[in-house]
Amino acid sequence: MRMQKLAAQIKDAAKKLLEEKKVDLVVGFAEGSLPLRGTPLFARTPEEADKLTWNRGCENNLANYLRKREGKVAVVAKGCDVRSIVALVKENQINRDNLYIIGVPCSGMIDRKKVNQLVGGKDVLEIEDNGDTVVIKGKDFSETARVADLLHNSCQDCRYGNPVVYDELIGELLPEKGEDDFAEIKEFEAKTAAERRAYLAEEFSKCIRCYACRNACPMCYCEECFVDCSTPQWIGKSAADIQDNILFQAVRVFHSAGRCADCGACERACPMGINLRLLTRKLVKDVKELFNAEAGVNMEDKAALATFTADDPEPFLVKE
Amino acid sequence: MLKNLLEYIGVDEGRVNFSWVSAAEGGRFAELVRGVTAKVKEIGPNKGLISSESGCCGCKN
Amino acid sequence: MIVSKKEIPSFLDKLISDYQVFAPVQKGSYTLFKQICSGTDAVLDGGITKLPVKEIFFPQSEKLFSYNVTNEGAKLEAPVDDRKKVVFGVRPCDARSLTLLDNVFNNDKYQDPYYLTRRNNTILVGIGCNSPASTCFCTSVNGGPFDTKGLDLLLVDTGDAYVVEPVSDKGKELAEKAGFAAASDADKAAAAKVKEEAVVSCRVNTDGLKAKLDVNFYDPIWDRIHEKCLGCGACTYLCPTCHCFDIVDDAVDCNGCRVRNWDSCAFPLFTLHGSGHNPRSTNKERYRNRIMHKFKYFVDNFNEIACVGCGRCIKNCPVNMDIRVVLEDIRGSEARLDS
Repeated sequence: MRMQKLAAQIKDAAKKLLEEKKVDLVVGFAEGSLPLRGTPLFARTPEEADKLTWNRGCENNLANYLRKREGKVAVVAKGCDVRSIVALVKENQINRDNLYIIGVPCSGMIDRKKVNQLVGGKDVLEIEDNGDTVVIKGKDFSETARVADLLHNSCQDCRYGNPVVYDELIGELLPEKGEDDFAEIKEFEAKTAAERRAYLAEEFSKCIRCYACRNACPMCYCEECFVDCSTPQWIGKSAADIQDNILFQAVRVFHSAGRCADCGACERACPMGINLRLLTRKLVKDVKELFNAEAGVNMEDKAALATFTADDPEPFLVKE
Repeated sequence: MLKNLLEYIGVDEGRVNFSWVSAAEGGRFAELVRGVTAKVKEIGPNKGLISSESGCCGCKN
Repeated sequence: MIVSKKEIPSFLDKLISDYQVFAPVQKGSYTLFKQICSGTDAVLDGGITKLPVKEIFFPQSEKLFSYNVTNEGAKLEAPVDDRKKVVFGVRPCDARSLTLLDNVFNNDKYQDPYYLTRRNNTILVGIGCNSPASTCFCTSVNGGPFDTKGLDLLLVDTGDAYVVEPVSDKGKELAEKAGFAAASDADKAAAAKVKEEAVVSCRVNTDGLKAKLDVNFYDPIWDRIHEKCLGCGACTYLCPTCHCFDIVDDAVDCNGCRVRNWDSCAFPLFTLHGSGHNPRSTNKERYRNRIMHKFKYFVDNFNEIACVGCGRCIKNCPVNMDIRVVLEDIRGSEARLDS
């Protein structure tokens, strides 16, 4: 019910903006073609805005569609979308004056991979959202599950479900959550180098170099990605080389250090189910520990790696 | 952070070293490099992130 | 003929001594075609594999030749994989995709030795689909859940056993050598019933699609239709019929390989010229190319649609770009996008 109410409010807000010609375009979500799947929608007229919706499958980070846009644009944005937007505004990729943020507090999106696992890979035909629980229905089965158990890992870890910046808020702000403890990152750090290598080799043997992770990431917007460059060729082009697959991801995550809002878009996009946040979150954790900084949580902070203070920690220097 | 990340993904500890040396500090530079090379020699040859027998393109060439 | 499910592992083990045997194996939450060392590794009830069967014949990265240069001159080695293979547990859509790829890799103008040698040395054993998924639309693109095109043997799952239906001479020979028992009339009836009950409920109407694509290259519909596409290669790499490739040299000092890698029309490097010009410079042109290639150019060249309706692109697209919706938008209702 709550979701339907939010959807109706989003629709109204978007229609009003388009009717009053305050914006030329509203980027939001429409009902997708799979069970509980939202799909990005670009509405330019009030009629098109009628297709806008809101559900537990609106998992994409729409900040990705806002860079270097012409004209006035409105966006339906969850907490993580807004964090990425803030980071992109600071990098001059989005003009805040031309962007109208319809903020939606978000308590998490449902991971279809987890749904699939729960029903043993059976074909899911419908997912009924009952608030705290969902009913997953197929041809000859029906299963009830707790929403909390099915959320994306990134949503379970998320501390910023409430948009940090908005021009209009839909629905009510959610209660604050405690600090993120980065438990799985600490656990991985505690393993031996050989164990870590073995795990990553197994994970990245799945990589098919489709670059869905890179393209789904709102912060990955280089004109030419280093993997695409052929003169010089920084990295092997063949997916068969697992080391190159790891190197690709290592460079990608390092490039988003201090910029990554941990929205999980990369991991959601990966068709092969690679545990990518094991790498992205290592940097989120280090940036937090070393510089006490988080990407995109307010308009004031400068990007952690783009600032220098005399008391920046230097634990990496060779000890003499 | 780069050092942290590299060691996190399994590059041997001690293989990546950073320092800050002024152009005027020739003696200190030599000393540091000697220290680092000794350290890396002790670790031995770099076998890469994963011990694969693959050739240039992962092709077992 | 008929073979009980219990006998399959030992049947596969016997095959392994004579052939390289590929079958779906479990990898995390999905299955992939891998070479198996034991018949028990095969997972035959897991639906379609994550990656299509094309990777066995046209690997994502394939060495065309290797070279090394010494004082005595250059040496070249061009291995062609001619080991005998059996691919077990292929779904009919995947098998049919190979008959489409044959057009590309084996035609009047060009015969690809790497692909063709593998193809000629491989026996394809298919398993029909008793319960097609909601994203399957094979029957809309000239296929079906028990279609035999491209297969040598078709197995029909009747519960505890597979009814074996030989399709080609190669398949028949394999089945006879295995000594499968003859199927009774009841078994045959059970197989017929299974086939009848397997319904592909999803229909994609392709009537008039080609005629539309023949004339709509400059249509404004292309300005909008690609908008949410991220430009990643997930759909093309997971597609059983996408076959574009890029050839690169991977070299260290005087040793190197020339490698053929899958390429994707979604990438900015695709058709980027040495001059810096790119005829498909934005996502719009690249997405249009994907649709045009499958539903127009391939039809012009080989008289078939380059899509087998497996649904992989639908299930795996990060932004739910659904080819069924895209085709419907193009085919009938321009008004829906341009209103």
